Amino acid sequence: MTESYLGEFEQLVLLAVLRLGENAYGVTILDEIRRRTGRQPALGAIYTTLARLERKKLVSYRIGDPLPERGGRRKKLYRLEPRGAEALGRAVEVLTHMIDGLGKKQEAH
Amino acid sequence: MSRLPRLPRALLKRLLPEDEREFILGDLEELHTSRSASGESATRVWLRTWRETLVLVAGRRRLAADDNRMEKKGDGIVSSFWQDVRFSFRMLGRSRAFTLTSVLILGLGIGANATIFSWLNTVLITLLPGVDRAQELVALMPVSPMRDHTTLSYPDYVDFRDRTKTLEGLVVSDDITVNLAVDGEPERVWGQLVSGNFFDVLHVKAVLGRTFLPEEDRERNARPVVVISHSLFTRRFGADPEVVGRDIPLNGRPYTVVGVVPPGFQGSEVGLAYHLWVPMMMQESVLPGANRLDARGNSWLDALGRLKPGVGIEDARAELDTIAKQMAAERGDDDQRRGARVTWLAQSPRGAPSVLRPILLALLGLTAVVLLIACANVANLLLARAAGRRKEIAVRLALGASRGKILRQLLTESAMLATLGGAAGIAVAYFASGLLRELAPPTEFPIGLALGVDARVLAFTMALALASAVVFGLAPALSTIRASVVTPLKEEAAGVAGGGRKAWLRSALVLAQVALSLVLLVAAGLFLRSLKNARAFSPGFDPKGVLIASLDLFPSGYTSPKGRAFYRELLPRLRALPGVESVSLARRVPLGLGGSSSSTIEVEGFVAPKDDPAWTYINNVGPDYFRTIGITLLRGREFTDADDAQSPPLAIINEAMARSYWAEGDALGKRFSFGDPTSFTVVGIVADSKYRSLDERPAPFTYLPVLQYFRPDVRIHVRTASESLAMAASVEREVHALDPGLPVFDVRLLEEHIGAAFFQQRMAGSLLSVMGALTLLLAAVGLYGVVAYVVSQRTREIGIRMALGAAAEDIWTLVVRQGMWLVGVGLILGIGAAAGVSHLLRSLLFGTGPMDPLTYAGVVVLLAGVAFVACYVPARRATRVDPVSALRYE
Repeated sequence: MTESYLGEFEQLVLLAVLRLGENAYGVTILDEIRRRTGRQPALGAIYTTLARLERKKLVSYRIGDPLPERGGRRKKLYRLEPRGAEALGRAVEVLTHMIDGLGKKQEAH
Repeated sequence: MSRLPRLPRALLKRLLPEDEREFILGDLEELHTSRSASGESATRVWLRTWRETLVLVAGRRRLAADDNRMEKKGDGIVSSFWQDVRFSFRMLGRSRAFTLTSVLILGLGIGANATIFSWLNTVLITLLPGVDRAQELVALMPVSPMRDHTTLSYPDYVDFRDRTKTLEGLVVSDDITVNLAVDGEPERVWGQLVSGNFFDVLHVKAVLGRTFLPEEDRERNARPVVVISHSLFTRRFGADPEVVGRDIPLNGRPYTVVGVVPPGFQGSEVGLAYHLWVPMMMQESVLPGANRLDARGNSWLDALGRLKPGVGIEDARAELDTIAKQMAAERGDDDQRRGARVTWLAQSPRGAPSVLRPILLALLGLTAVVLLIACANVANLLLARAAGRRKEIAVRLALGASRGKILRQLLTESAMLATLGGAAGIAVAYFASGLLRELAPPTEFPIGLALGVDARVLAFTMALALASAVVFGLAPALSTIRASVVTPLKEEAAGVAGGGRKAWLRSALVLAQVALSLVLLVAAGLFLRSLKNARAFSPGFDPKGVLIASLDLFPSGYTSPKGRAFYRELLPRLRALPGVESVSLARRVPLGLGGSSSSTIEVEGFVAPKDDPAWTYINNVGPDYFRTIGITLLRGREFTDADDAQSPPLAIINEAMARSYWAEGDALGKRFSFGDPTSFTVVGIVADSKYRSLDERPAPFTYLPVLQYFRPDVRIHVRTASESLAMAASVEREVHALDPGLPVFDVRLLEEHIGAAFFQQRMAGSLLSVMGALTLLLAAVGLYGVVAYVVSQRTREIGIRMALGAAAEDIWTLVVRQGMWLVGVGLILGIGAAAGVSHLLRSLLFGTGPMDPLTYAGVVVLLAGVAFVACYVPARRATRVDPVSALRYE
């Protein structure tokens, strides 16, 4: 399979999953992105992205316990896969390369 | 604790895949709870939950699309089809006015066709609602050397039924009306007297109780049982299942309800709805006259058979014809002209199909013309719109789209338009299909047309819509692509000649529209003239100012002497009413759809050829009948109150009869008989009049005195000096003064009643007028569009002409001439087409030929006038072209 590039929102979701560790599921991921970026993504957008990441095998999940505040429903808890970490690393790397030296050139102008 | 609102929850439960549902709903619930707890306003929380829901649903669809893309990478056709559809939707949405106009035009065109088809579907395809595969039913009629009957006698029926091997079963029926008295209130109900196998052969099963048992078809007058319709069951018995087994009084005699048939089923006559069924063996208690079951000479039953699977109608025809010949031979009649006629029920010469079939087929053909005109109009609109899209298409071609792909795209747009038009057409049909009930002729029969839009009408409409998409879409699409190949950047350079090809196509379309409108308007005109002729035609009697009202003494248990006494008492009472000029009774009213009675006769001193016996139509009438209905008494006298059972048998005959059987000498005082010892003396001769249809030839007709030959079912005829209908209440009051329980029904004006004789012309005339007006409007709009387009194309040329000194009139003439030239050619083609079409309609016209010059001239003038106005408006605009700005336009 060819290397896939990550979209911006995909990066945000992957980073949130990474930060949240054992407690990464729809609501917490949404919260995390909101708190750190000030954006208000819809739950649906997060689920769509997670499903895509899951297909690309960048994240995996396990099923949590049922909880009363969720109407007795269980959680789907996500975890970063090694390939996901790799993809994130690559994205950061690409970005760094693109930014690298940018300051100097601008000065030269 | 606040819970997730119900609707989003239900929506998601339905739309999310099962393995994801729990987690997503859980998350949503959690979010909802925390938002509610955080002090956000309820409205805001509610709105956000809805937003989440919608985004979730949209996201699911996007994921599904991902899947599709992955699965169907190879399968380009399907995905590009959807792409085309989506793109078409966007394009149509962008030009709303165009889309709306096209859909409206198509909707009317398709709707008109769908409506007529829905009628055809009811009358000629569905035939008998609630009957399994009614299209496989055939009508059986005997053929005799004398005249064709449509009915069988009971002994003949039994022979056919027992001998046939090609029919799965043969049933017979006759109409009955009975007095049903449940819980006091008496009601006159239409039913059928049917053979015992009736429900089995029609494949109708009772929803409650049962249908008839074999023994109920054997024992005469011993088993009073009745099966009732579902609507009678709900209306009269409150849908109480306990009614099965209960005794209900029919004509005063208790009948046991044994079953209820499914809703929808209404009997075995197309277009009529009956509400109860009584086995044939009970004939004597529900039909007047004595036992008819043994008389082979008495034909009164409608016969219907169902072909055995795998048997063709030709086989049945051959077999039943042979059986008929055998039956005659067994009785010593070797005439080879005896036989049997078998037709599909839809082509049966009796009932609604026979009346409606020709007119519905003609109308279907003519509404197809309306649709063609609608298609031409939409094609014109597409062409006009294509001008604006040429650049877009050129760009797409330049970017590498194949012509095939663009053609497909354009046709998809047409198909979408047609689908929307089809949907609009179905809406039109849904509302208009009930119209047939309004157009149906007045009749004493219980009309029950199950009209509406069913699966067959839907399928027909959609097929029609897609076919019209090709008709109106293909030529414009091809022309658009062709035009786009020449780079539209050269457009200006192309100048006047640029739109040449397209202008040609548009002109051809307008020409077709003018020609087709002419066809339709001529047809409408011919029917309207026929209607006018029929109304003005004298039927040999004077229907104006005559009120008719029906009575039936039989269900109320009148015997002949009692009935005669009743008539004798009633007539003077009615005569005494103020405003009444004269009063009479008659069993049959001429020119309705009510049927006729006839009989062979033996005439003293007249030897009929063996194969052409003397015969006559018969009506039983009261005193003063001829004066009341306005038939001229030529010689002799009318019947009087004194012509009763005690006086010698009398008859009055018409001129045609006198001419036929007493060609030499005077018929007055001569005698004839109906094949029994009773001999009738002719006491009067009256003028011929129309009995069954306006275009019939005079036939022998005999009137017998109803006070002598009693009939319990009669129509009261009242001729009044003024408002006849106002008399209805007084007539009813007088009847009820004598017998309060006797229903007076079918009260109407004789004029209205005989309207049935020309209802085909009325129906076609009124429908075609509406359609004609519609197509005239469409043609005018099309013509206007073309002329306006030509003017816009020629703006520069006109500017040059004007700069060179052309007067406004010259310009005006130039433009109008071009438009009217098109109209002229269209009219000529149209006259040719109209002549062809109206020849096909000939049998439906009355008093006018298919080439009626007045109709053609009128329509040509009307069309030319409207066309002139449509050309005039854009021509006026052309004369206002400012030469300077027209030249600067470049």
